[in-house]
Amino acid sequence: MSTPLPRREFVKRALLAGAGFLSAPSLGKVIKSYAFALDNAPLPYELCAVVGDRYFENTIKAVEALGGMKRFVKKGGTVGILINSPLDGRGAHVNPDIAIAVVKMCFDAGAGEVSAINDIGQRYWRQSARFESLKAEIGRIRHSGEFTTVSIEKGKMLKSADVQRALLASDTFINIPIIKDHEGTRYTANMKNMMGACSSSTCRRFHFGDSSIFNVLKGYYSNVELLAHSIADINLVRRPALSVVDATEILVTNGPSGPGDIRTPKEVIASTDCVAADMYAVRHLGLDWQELLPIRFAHEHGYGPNSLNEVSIRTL
Amino acid sequence: MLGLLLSLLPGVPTADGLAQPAKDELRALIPRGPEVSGVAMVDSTREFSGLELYQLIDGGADLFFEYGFRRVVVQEYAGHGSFKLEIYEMTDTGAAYGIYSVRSGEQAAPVNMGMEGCKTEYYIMFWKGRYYVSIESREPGKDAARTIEAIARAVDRNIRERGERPSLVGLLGGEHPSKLIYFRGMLGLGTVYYLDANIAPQATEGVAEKCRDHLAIQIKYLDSNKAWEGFVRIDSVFKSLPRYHDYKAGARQSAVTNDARQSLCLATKGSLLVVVIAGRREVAEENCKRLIELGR
Repeated sequence: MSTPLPRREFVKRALLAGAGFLSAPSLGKVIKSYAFALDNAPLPYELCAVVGDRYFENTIKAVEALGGMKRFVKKGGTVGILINSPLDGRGAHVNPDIAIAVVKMCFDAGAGEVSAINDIGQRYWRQSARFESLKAEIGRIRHSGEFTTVSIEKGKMLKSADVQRALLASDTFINIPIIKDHEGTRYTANMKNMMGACSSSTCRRFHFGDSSIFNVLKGYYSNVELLAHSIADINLVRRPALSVVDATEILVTNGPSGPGDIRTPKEVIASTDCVAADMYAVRHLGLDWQELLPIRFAHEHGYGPNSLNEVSIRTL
Repeated sequence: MLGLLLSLLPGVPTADGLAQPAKDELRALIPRGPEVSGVAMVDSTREFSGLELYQLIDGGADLFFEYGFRRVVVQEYAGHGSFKLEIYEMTDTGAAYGIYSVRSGEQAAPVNMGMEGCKTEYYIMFWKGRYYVSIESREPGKDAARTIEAIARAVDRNIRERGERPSLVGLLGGEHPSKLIYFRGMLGLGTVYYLDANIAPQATEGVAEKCRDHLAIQIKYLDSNKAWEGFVRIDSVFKSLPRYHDYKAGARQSAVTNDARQSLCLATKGSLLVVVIAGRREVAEENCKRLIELGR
């Protein structure tokens, strides 16, 4: 279990960041609106993509190219990692070598604590050839499972959400998604992975709005926009300081669960901006980012680069 | 919508007019032992009904609801690797065919199983009656391929129902389509093309066919008024979005070129709406005209 952040420190941090949380149950009142001071401060848009078979080493290379993990993680600081790990089919989850490389880099950079924002079973880690040699680091990963309700004042469809407390409480947030097909939004990567930090009841609202039976029955398709808007909205809560995207073996049809057609770009992408990483990564699905609603709505909210020309891109 | 309504109300007869199989009948389709040598069942059978599907495949669930989903049973096996069998009971045979048509991959080869089936090195899927079946190996290889085929054949034998493709399928008549899908909403259609317009709510069904030099989409509405509304929605997108250029209008027909230099031709007649996307404007227009005539 994670060491709980003292309430006073949690409140202070959220206020400094401008975070609003509705019902951390004992707090009782709404504290208004927000942008995380540490992570959401505009960093230059930087991205490094590394291609090759050695996914563990290439993850480290990609982060090193952005200045190394010490740029993102302070000594003794806490790190929250959000790994797309729940689905176990081919091309449907982040290769654990990539996630383990991120965890190792965090501890090497002096992180005091690394918390998994979503619950990750041992079965996931055991798939990695690095499991035995990095068992100690894996054993240090914490998970509390505790949710907090946040208000999203600027949200267009989603005005509040129940999110894992570790998402807000960590000094540094690192998102680790896989780029793959998604039958609703056409792709999933960084932006949509944020649903992994939300409670199931909040996720349901991404699909059905207020969850009334009438909304459910009226059909899904107004709801592609609802889903995409909600994804853009949840990314207002907190965006990662660092995004590490798995584009090594990916589902290009029948996502997010598969089975389906597989492509193996063998690429690991690291970026200081989650939207930039998504805009870059969707090429592997044969998509043009300009057609993708979550990215369009992110731009309407005023975050993410308007073009990949604004992103400093290195390929290794 | 009807599909979802049915999925929420267990016990209601399906769109085929057939009674819903009892819970045990669905589970009885799962091969349990001797018929599949070399593998053993692992864990107990899991079952998800109606909206519980989100617990199994979250983001993938919407597509199943669009077609008409009732429930699914999931069984894990271990032997030469680990395997996952999923048997989806849809609301009707059209729903089962539709979900199969969308999910069968272009990398997959046809296999003689169910009413139609396909396989790759790591999965087999097929549809039969109201059922869509998927068997996946987590460790691809020759032994794994043999095992998933053995499991698939056992399920195929256990399903007694049969079924026909929806009548709309096959009307497009393109030569050697590399992909043909039957859809009942924007999600299904979106797997082959994103039209920028929400055209599906008043549509009943549609077919999309990828051919060598064009993609043809035929959408069937409840009546000609609804089809005209669908036409106006897409036509206004063609006229207003900056990624479309060279707009040309005709009688109940229009055409544009998009940023990717593809030509799109749109036409409607009666309750039918046709969209054709092609590299060349004349190919788009010719096929659009042909399909409108075919649909009379």
